[in-house]
Amino acid sequence: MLNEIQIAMFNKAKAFQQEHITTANTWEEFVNILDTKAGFVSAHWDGTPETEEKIKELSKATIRCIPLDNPQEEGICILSGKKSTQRVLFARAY
Amino acid sequence: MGKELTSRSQDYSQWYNDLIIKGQLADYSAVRGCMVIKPYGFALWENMRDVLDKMFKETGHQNAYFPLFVPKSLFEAEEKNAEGFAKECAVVTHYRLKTDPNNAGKLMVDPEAKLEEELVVRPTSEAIIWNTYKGWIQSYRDLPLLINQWANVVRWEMRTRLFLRTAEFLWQEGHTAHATAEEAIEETRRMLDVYADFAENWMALPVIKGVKSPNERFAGAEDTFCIEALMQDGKALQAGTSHFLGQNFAKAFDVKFSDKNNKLDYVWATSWGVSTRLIGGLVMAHSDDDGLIIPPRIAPIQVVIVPIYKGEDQKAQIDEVVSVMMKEMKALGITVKYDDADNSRPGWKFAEYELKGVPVRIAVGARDLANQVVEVARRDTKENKTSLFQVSLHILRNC
Repeated sequence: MLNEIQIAMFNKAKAFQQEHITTANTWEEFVNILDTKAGFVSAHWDGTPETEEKIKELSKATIRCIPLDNPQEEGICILSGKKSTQRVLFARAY
Repeated sequence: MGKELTSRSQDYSQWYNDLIIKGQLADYSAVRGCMVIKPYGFALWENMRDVLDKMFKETGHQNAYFPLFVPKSLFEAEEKNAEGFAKECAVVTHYRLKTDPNNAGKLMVDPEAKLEEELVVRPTSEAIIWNTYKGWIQSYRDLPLLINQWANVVRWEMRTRLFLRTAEFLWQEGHTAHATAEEAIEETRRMLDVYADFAENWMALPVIKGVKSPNERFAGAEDTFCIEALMQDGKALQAGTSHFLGQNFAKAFDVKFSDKNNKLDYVWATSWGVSTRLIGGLVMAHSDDDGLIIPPRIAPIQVVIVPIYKGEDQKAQIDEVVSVMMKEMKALGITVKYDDADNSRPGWKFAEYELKGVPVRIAVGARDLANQVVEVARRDTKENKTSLFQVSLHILRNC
């Protein structure tokens, strides 16, 4: 039973985590997800510290990480509209 | 019961504080921003520490201990690191008190006991450690150097929260030195994997492994890798970091080694750490409105047994059965507690162990004894079922 509990706890938390990784393609979507569902938001960022800082200032969300083995994907930065090569994970954090 | 808990929907942060305080993990202290870790919370930390310590040793690391104080001249040697931490450093300027001549019974700082050089209370130990490594590393034969220390550190935080952000906290910090950048990067990634393995398989805490943006990098690092966890309110928590430090500290402290061809080069470095903050993450990720839910593999108490009886005769009969059960459970390596204190009712005890997040509760009632059954309850799902003694042991062992 102890093993079963250990596994059930992980699975429950894992399901919650998976449900809370949401893709945003526009600034409105981005802010809306943060304000309602929260969790991680996967979005394009132009790679500059200035944009990162500005996003933090406007939304209180920070780049939590660029996931390992992150797929490369052409896109447009949710704030600056500049070209981006990959999505990164944003979230409000402790 | 006097244990009313705030619910998550009412006030998530108050819920969190209630669980920590009423669940007996920690308490506020007389020092602003510092907490007292209570025995139950410390037992949890010890279990986490023991697992991590074993993992570090299995990956070739040894423990050592370095001083709490860092002379200011050493602290400032690696400029980015110093600049990054400067705003949250506690600094020792004097080494003596004396009786205050103008205020009977009071003490004052002795102005004559001013230190020639201020001492910084470590917010992290790269400086003191790399200053030491200079004397330990001369040749490629001295590498890799794989050291970990378990310690307390101080970061003068303005806004503090129990476990998640405290001015003083407990952690481990690994500091390694390597002959090549590739080896150091490999080590950085290896320790990130160790942290992810620990978080997921021991704390039941799923994490995302990644690399930080330059803005969020550790001060003095070339690259910071991290594991990020998600709390029930949808906020993220950085649960551990592993840094590739390049040659920054080797250059700041002039740590060079001669390679096989007698060529001198600066050493490559990593550092990595997790702290008591993980306990905050554990609480926020798993618990519910009735209290903590601690994953069995690190729980200070895995199974609690509560007797339900009237009179000494019944109690004696239960004791007998329980002693057999406990013996068998201990033989299985299960940490079990028999709470037969007669100063509180079974219902109160049930709520108490729910609050403390003990994974399994077994109630042994006098009436059930005749049928050789007990009630087994799971903390995570609140399911409970009646089963035979032998079956209950079987369930504990095999599932």
